[in-house]
Amino acid sequence: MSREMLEAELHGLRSSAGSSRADHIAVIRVDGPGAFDLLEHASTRRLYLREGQMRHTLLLHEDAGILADVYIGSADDGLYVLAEGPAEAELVAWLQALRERQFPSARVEVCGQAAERVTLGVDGPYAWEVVSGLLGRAVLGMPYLTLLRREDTLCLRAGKTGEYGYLLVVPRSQATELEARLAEVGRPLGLVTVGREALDVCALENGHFSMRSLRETALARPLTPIELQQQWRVAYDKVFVGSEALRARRAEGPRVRATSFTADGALAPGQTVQLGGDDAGEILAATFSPSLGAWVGTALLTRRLAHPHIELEATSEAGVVHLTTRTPPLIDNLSLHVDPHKHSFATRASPAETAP
Amino acid sequence: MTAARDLDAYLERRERTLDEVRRLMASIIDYRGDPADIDPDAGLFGTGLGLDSLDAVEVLIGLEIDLGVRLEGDDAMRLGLRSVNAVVDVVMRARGELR
Amino acid sequence: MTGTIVDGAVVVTGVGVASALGTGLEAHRAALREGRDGLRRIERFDTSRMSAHLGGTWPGWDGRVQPEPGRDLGLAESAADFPLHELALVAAREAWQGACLGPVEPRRAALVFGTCFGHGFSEFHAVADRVAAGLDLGGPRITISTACASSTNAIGLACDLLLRERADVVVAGGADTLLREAFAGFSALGVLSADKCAPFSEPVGTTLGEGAGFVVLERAPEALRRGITPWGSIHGYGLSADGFHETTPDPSGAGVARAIRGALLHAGWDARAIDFVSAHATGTTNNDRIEWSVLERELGGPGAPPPPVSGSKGQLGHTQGAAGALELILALICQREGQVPSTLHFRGARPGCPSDPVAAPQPRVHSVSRALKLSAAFGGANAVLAYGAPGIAPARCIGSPSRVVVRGVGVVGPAGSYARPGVDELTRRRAVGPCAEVDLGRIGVDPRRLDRSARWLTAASVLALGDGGRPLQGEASVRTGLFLGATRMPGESSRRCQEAIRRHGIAGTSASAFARMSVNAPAGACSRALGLLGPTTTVSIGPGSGLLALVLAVEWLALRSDADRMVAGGLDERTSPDGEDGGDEAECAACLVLGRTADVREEETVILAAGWGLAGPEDAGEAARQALAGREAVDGVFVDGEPRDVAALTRWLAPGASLGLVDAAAFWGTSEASRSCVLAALAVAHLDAGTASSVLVVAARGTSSVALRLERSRG
Repeated sequence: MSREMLEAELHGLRSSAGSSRADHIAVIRVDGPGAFDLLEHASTRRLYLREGQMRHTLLLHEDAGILADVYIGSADDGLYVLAEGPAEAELVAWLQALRERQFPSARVEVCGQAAERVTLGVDGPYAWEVVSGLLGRAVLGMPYLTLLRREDTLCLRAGKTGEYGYLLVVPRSQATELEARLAEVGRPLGLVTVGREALDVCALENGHFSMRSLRETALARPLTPIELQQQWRVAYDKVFVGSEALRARRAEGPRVRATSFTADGALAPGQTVQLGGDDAGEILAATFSPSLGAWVGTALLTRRLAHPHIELEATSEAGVVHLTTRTPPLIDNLSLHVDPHKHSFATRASPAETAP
Repeated sequence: MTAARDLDAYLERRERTLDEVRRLMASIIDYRGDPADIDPDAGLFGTGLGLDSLDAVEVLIGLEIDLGVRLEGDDAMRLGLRSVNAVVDVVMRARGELR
Repeated sequence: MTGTIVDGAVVVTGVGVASALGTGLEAHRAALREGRDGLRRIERFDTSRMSAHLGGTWPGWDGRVQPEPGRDLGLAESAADFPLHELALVAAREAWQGACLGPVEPRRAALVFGTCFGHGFSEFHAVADRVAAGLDLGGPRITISTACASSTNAIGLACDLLLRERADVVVAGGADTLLREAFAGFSALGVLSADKCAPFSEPVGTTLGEGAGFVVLERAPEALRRGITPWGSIHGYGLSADGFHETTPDPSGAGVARAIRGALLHAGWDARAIDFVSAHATGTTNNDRIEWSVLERELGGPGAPPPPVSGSKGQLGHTQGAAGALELILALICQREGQVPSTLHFRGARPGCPSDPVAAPQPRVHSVSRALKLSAAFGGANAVLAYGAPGIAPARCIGSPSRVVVRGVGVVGPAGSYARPGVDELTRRRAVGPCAEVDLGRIGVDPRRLDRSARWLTAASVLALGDGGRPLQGEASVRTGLFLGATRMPGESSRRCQEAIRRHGIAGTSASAFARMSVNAPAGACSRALGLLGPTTTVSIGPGSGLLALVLAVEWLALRSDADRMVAGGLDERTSPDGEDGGDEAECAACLVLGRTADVREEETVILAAGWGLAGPEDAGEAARQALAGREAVDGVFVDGEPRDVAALTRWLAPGASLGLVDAAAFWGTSEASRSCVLAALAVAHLDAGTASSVLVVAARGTSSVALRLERSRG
């Protein structure tokens, strides 16, 4: 994709809204009397789900490496798992194997939804206006991490860009029509179509964990929620798949931690980062951010240096790139200043008036 | 050498302030675990620690009374309270420990 | 089924008021006529460090000031010069006199009193006692404390008492004072306006007020016989729980909508028949917008806007527990003149608010036949009253009452936590001390944001529901209610709030502690944790409060159709903090889950709530008589409190009764609100074991006497 096209998508995502096809998200419905216990056991944190609520949690491998970045929500027809990481078939098999091991006599249905459903995403400071234009006013009041059903569409408020974000799970047969209506509703609201790459740039700018930035590294095998700063969704006093290994890693004391940075040049995953000639870690993920006019990313740094406001370098044949560690999010998201009950895209102030 | 010493001093102050802020957050959310497990970049509101509007009042009071830092203005609050590290930045800046 | 249900109208024969607008009906009529508000600078305490400086204070207390907040100034001393019963009696007496009642048999005259904070954040039932004593009322005295919904709920419950013939006259309403500590709490929550409260308009925020409003209610035939022209008629009420947040209303408005539908159902009215709504309209962004969107949805339709909606907090301020009653009375005063009260300080609608909430200084000419009074409280308790013009005939359908059964029992106490405990578990050792710890996380309940009181109540409810702690979903969630009996503010949160004030000064009040220290906060937290979104209330009669909650829940299921299950019980958080000797205190939460026999398989043996009774203080015999109606004797009489009328109780024991008279104090320490529910749990245990086939449980020491008869029966 050309730089101009990516910039246009990013501009749309950060100033109005961007719609996308979320094919990388596996949607699985888990139902039956044993559904809750199964997912509770798999999840790194307790779910405590009221109907209409979602929890952002993790599924781990037995070695505490991350299998999936998931939302688990309670809808009127069962529990829904929206997962980034594994393909649907892999995750379905994993859940079924877990059921056989832990709850052999439990009645649970694990149904992948890809055959029948398509997932769309709408993200941006005015995403709420687009989605409420499509599904009605009830969307305006949706708190973060809740879901509601409008006819055949399941609407979930989540998002990993730091802006308002919604996922719409719709029947495959209605997808084309819905996308057309979405485009129609979104046109006067500046809605653009965006792809994975733009959403990934936004996630990096906001310091959101992404499965796509996970990579093999010798610095920590595997990379666990501890190194990746995802302990906020781990309950150490709970049993879950990988809990033993995770507690062991915690007892050892992690040697590296993922830290956000900005840089003045291009960087590649795996590239070594140094402080005054000594190895300090390696790049986990990096991309160019047009909003910031700089490269942004996360690096795995030795524990001691894994703090913001530290100057580092990365050397390659291309030259020396200077990095500064940062406190994410790196963006003052426009969404923080937009109130769905007071504002609208049509009456928004000029960018100059709302700039941070 | 000066740079290295400066860095050491900064890292020591950072860890200390991070510890203070973690303990403040732990008390507000009634955290049952070890405050050291709170990720430095953990978000405060919505995602991360999941604080809400009631907790926000506690955070401001705790910052003022326990850490001696007063946050004024809507924007200062919005940006200063986005994550544990953001709060650490605010505290260190107020104490003249951060450029 | 106990007693009769009278299918009749309930009318308002007397009204009494005291508020920022003045004292008495005439003062309020004049204020309405002149389009005045009563909001002015607060003089009784220093507001310089708070976010607001205006309040709706009662002129009757002008000149009185609160003592300076010294280190050891307790809440009671702080409130000493503002005795709540004094304010309440001013209004209650006016209402009583205005009703021109002839001689009334004291035991047939009752009081239902709503209050947020009682006197000095305590003595909730004691204030009711003083008010009732001041009027010589000898019938049931019930305090309802569901924050700002209290007096709306109180008036609804008063109607129930009349239609069930538990009383012939009921004084119903509410009162609250404006004290620095409450003001500081609301200020910390960021809900106070810098200017005068402007419902639906700018600037946002509310203005705290104080006052007392009471109505005298009677069954219509009695009033008409005296030749009284009533002020209006009351037709029904609805209750619901938001289960969303300590202070923020559910953005979907579903809870308020449920309460509206409950009121309409109870009254037998169609939504389209409503021609006026007195809204809660506090002036805060969230409340006003959500309330208006619900009213549009529930009372409006395509092409048909809702009827006129106005809010009276611009005139009165937010009078807390008195709000429902005072605002209803303003509406009744206007209704008599063929008018509806206006909304003051309106400068154009905020987003999502009505463009014309009867915005004007004076009331607007608009004839009212049927109307609603809405209240939405902190803790998520909603109450809606269906009222109307004096001549509106009752439209309620009264079917035959359902049979109510006990579906579950949960007790959390010093000896441990139990689901449907056996006799031995409850009586093996005398229960004294703090509750044994409960790991809520393991039961599946999020312990975050639950203080001590909320923890015990939630644990007891989980055990009684028998569902593994998972929150209820779907239909079950909105059709399961929670009725709580309590006598005190939650101690841990109250102490935390006072500690914050001691450390940080009054302006540093802990918002979260303040939000969790109201009497109804534990019920709100429990409903949130478990998804109990059906009808909810928090009641107090002092000792025996839990049994009253149980009886009211039984009656709700027997006579209403908007709930299928009720969790009901009593809660006592310890009064002495960690390390201190609690004396004979037994910390406890005890709940029963009730359902209908319709939900039970035919051959199943059930524990039936076969009869119940409610009477005035020191009248346990009368309560027992009501509960026994239709039966001659029981196998056991379980009593909470010294049986003052032992003879009247023992006469109900069958000759050679298997259990006889059981005194709660013999096996359980002092738990004012919950011990009577522990007695009910013990009764269930005996009935389960077959050591008795019928038991009468009596609470004999409170401001009301309550009795419940439980029996083994075939489904």
